[in-house]
Amino acid sequence: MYGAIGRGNEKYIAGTIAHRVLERVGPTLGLLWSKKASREEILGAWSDTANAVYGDAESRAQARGLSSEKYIAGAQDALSGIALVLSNYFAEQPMPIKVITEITITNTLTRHEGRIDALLVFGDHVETVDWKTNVTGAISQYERIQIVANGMLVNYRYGRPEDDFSNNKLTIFTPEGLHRAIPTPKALDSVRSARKYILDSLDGLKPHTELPPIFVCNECSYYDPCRFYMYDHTPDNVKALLWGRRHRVLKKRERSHLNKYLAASLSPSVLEEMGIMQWGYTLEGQDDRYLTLRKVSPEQRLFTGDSVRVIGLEDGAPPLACVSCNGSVKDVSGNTLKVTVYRGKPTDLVGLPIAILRADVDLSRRELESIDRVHRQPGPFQDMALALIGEDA
Amino acid sequence: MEIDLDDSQMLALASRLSSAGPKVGGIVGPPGAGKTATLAQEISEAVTARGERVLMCAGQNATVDQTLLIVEAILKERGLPYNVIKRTGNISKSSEDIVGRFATHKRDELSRARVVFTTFHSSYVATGEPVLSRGDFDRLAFDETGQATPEQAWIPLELLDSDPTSKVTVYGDDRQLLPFTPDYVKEKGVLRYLRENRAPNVTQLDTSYRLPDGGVDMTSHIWYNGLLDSPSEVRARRLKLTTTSSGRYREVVDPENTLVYVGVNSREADSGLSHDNPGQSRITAEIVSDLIACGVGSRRILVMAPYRPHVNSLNLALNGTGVEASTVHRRLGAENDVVIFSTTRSNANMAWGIAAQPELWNVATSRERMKLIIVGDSGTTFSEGSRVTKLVYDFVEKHGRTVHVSI
Repeated sequence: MYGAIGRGNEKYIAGTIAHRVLERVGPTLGLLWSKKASREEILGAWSDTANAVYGDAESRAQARGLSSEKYIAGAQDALSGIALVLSNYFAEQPMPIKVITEITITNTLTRHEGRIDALLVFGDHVETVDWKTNVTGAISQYERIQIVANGMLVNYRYGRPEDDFSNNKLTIFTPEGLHRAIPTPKALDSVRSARKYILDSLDGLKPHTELPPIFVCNECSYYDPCRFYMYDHTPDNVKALLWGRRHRVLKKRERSHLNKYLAASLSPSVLEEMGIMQWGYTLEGQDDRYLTLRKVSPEQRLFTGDSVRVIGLEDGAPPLACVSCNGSVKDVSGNTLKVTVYRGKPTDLVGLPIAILRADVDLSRRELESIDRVHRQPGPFQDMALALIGEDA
Repeated sequence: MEIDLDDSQMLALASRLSSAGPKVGGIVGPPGAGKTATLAQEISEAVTARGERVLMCAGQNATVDQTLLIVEAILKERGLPYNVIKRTGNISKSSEDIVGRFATHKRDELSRARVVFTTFHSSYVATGEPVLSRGDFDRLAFDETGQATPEQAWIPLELLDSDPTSKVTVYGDDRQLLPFTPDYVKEKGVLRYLRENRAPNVTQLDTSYRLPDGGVDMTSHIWYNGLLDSPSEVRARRLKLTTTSSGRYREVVDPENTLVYVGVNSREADSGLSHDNPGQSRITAEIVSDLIACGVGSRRILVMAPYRPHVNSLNLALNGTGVEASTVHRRLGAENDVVIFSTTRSNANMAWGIAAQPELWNVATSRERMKLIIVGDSGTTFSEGSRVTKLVYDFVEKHGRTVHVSI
């Protein structure tokens, strides 16, 4: 159900805070590995970042009149655990050639996209890493399937069939230990069938839905919306209006991915001519927030305000599987651009030739959520929403 | 900075500030009619006279920031400190001044503010950690609702107090650019829905403080059923030149010709899925150079085109003049003394494609304070190619000046 809002789960808050720290400390991993750092040294290297994240969590909690103490303590425990597991791993394993974190990979052939927490590149293999800061004890089937899905994208990045895991280890780090996930044929089938179900739904087909056993429903954060839409008593005219709006938003979301598909199927000269993707940029400067890029020739065709994916072209990897940053063009001066970075690590682009893909911003999630709220709140709120477009409930 | 409102602005505002007024109301602001000033006045009155907490949203960050600065000036004059105003959301495109003085994501600061500014999409986050609280505002004021789809305008609705006296006002102009579906079919924005379904709840402002003679008459005639006018001093506004043009653009540059059509014998060129017209770019650059030679500063000239490739070729041709061309979509809300609209299309089929949408033409031909120059083809693509271009051509031929030049 696109846009359905599930119920929050308190037990995930501490893990989410810890994960936020890990998202930011990726660039320290290589150095810590080279020093075979201990838990204390790892936590010391992360402390400034962690304190900034805790401070942010604290001020948000205070503003809501809540105490963040137990969540921050939980996050500290999770990070301490992960640091210990990492330090043991550093001691046992040779250092990777490269550590890449938070990399977005798009495989347009399978219409599959995902962000990988970390990728450890060794001489003869890679390791796809997932941080599971909430997990205690055994790894669930869902978590295994999630890393298998990410691993399939990594295989694509290295030019292999997505189910060829011969040089790709799947590693899940939890505060209590390290787990290897095995990409069994059953797990691969689960990923493929889930992907097909989603894509068929988006294509307007009506794929057969297999409802899970009821005891699973009780744990599901989408239980309420699921029940609501199964027994929806909204008046037909309102239902038709809201489903029509959902359809339009999903079409808009589809459009926001179009340039990626064009980039994967048209020739560079056509893409360059159409202003969809441009090559030949060099990175002139970067910090945490901005990139300065210069195009040598031909002339650049971007405008202030354009949303872009700035791609560092790596040898042998498809462009949409390379390291990248998402952002928007802040200034254009001749063939020089200043780009504000929203997502990704500017340092990953250093030393690489740069291509820029014009990328529509996908804001559809908020819009789908607003439709869900209007749909599921009959009464004054729904009346107000309909009044805004001059309609009666 | 107190704003003197005219009769139509006062009437619109009274309806929105009166307890007896409809809970949801719309105010249509044709080009230069003081829509943003009226919006800022509604917010300021609601805060100071009614003690309300107000949330202002728009689709674009630039629109949000522009309104914020006007509200700040009004509230300052009324003795309220700047820190009663807060700006939140994605502020990466905001000026350093706005970021430094107003921006925050802290819930306690936002909950103490009297007015909060943000975009539709940043206003309410259902999942994660929302910074604005449900039911925390007495009034929502939305701008650009001619372009906002229902689901975009519904995002902040959770933030409105459920009290029966709380209000929502939607500002905009649905006769200017409209939202588009992904397959490039025109969509209806919230304001169009409201105008069609609840016409009595929508008020239109009727005086343009931007458009001079010719321009206001054309805009009013084609898009506003003759209901828009400009005050005499605005109608009489003219360029002052330091020297008279003596070249082939003499009539084009002449300050008395406030509405000019320049026909160019240059066919369009395909550029990917889009279009360019290098001949129109060259003529536009020559006109710009002539205007500058006659003493019109480059900052007083705005150049637009409907297609990005044509904008690129215009910028190459304009290189060194200090004038930068842009697409029409990026100039919604902009104005300047001289506006040159290079229309691009010129083909044997008289085809306009997506550029035939009337709302785009309304934006492109209503940005000028003193002179509008439309650069088009010298054949029939413009004069016969679409209903809207024919209307514009016929009006300029009858009431303005038409000039044909060869490349």
